[in-house]
Amino acid sequence: MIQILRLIGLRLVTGSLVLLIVSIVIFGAVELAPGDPATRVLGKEATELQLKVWREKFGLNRPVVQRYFVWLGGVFTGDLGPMMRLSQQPIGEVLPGRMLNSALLTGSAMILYVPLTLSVAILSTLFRYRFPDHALSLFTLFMLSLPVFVVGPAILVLVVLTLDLLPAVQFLERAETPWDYFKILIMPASVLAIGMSAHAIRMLRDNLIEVLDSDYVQMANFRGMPTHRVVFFHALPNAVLPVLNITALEVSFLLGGSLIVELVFSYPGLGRLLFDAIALSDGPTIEITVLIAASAYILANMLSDIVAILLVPRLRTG
Amino acid sequence: MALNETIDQAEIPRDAPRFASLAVRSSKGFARLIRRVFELPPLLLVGGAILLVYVATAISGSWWAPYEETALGTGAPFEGMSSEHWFGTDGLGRDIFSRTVIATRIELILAALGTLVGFAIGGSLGLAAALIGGKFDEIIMRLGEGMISIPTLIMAILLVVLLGPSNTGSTVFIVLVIGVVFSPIIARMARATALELKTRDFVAIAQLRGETTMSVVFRELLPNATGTLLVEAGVRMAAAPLLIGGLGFLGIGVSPPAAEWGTMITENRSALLSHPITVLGPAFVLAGLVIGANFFTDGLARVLGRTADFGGAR
Repeated sequence: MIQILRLIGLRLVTGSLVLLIVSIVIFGAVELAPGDPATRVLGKEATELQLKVWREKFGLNRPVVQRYFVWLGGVFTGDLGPMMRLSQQPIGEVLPGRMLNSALLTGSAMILYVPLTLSVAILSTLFRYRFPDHALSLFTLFMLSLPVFVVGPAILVLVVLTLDLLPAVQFLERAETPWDYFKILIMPASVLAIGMSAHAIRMLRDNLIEVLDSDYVQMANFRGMPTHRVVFFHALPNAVLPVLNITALEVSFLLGGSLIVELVFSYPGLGRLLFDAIALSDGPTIEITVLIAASAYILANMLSDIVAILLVPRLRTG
Repeated sequence: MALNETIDQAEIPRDAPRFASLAVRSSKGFARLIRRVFELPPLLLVGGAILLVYVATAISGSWWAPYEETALGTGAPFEGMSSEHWFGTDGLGRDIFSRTVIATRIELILAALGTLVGFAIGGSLGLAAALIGGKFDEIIMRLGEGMISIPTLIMAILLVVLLGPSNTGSTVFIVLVIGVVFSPIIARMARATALELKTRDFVAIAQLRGETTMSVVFRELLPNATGTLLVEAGVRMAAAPLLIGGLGFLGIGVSPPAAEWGTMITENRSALLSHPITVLGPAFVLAGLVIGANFFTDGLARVLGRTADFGGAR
């Protein structure tokens, strides 16, 4: 037990360190960008006094290192100052809603992703080296090649125009019943789930087949155990670890993909916020949204490692 | 005989007999050459054929495209599919099919150069990390880990912000973005390969022979890593158009009015539901290139007895 706690503690420490490095990279990149944010936002006609007041307001007259620590403190307290736009809405007020929306979208994608990946990978494994397996593997390779900004519009056209199943414009703010939410989320979440699955299915299939070819599974086969029992009770539990790792990796795709999916489907999440922030060169907003995305990925990986430590005794030694 | 067959099947991997003839090189006969080519995995052939079409289009597209890349008002704004405008027209009345065709060249050039830069940065850093080891290795790999934990597209955005809006859109800039985004992934691959090869006897023997480090790298390590490098290069080349298109889609890619598939998808998005072809045309052309590259790489990996992981940088 102490060994387990020690390992988990170690993982938490290294995860936090990577997060710290990432935060420095992000803040450094945005703050050291050429050009003066004050003139960028206020325009060339702004007077020297206006610029000075504006810089004071955003603390730009202080050295970068000091600003970094103030910012890092703000990340924990939620006091991130105003957005660098004319509305100057406090970032801390805008973020929670956007984060919730994004969590809703990525969560829905995850809910679709797990059964999709498992079922297709198992199907492929059951028919391994035969036609259905080859066909599925060709199909996943095909899907893997399609970027989100191609699948998104294609699904939108298919569902809205060709099949006429959903209205073209839906507003998340006006959604009330779970059915409303479902109608809004199903398209963007499917696009993300398909993209994640395409890669995960291939890796899980390879893993499952490797396990199925191993001695103890062969032994179970020889004892006359039915195939479905072998797959579900012998092979799958041993392939859980790779599934965890794969899923943690897919989170990277999920985060990048949701940025584009939110644009395609006009979904008000963090991705849209980031997109608007880039268009307006809004430094503070860019910093925090990118940091949230990176943290989500690092946390997912940390979580998968910890679950793996708890599940697989082999990993606890050494 | 029957016994022999069972043993053969048991010991030789499923795909092996098919490619075994590749090892036996014969210079005799054109017919045999043709047969050899068709013994290659179908994925490699199909992917190769698709890629050839794209390369041919990249070279010749500007001659046979029906309209000029930036010719305004070739039709009314946002026309649908017609015999005159196969992919319709955009908001400025430009012919989308012509723009899609002409864009092929810039996409391929950017993808190739970006991958090259990625290999130059990542390859040398990874190799150096493996050879020098110790603190240097630690620092390089930790930094790389940090970079990898930022999703690819967001990393690219960060670089756009870092390098400033004035540089955004230039060819050099996009090549650099692709190179930097790819470099930690390539560095990790290069380091792992070098560490694995370093333990082999032939490297130790070369060192005992008194070969310099440079000589060991270029004469012992690199030739033995060719297969791994080729497959990785294929994966990166296939991923690069996704990144270029992604940047274009976000409005920070190749600067307008030059044609680029991702940029065109964004430009015509308002016409998606009235004239889907204006968006889906360039979108499917982009997808076709990635599909061709992925098929080719997967086939290549099978011939070389390796697996290609396409998930690394999406």
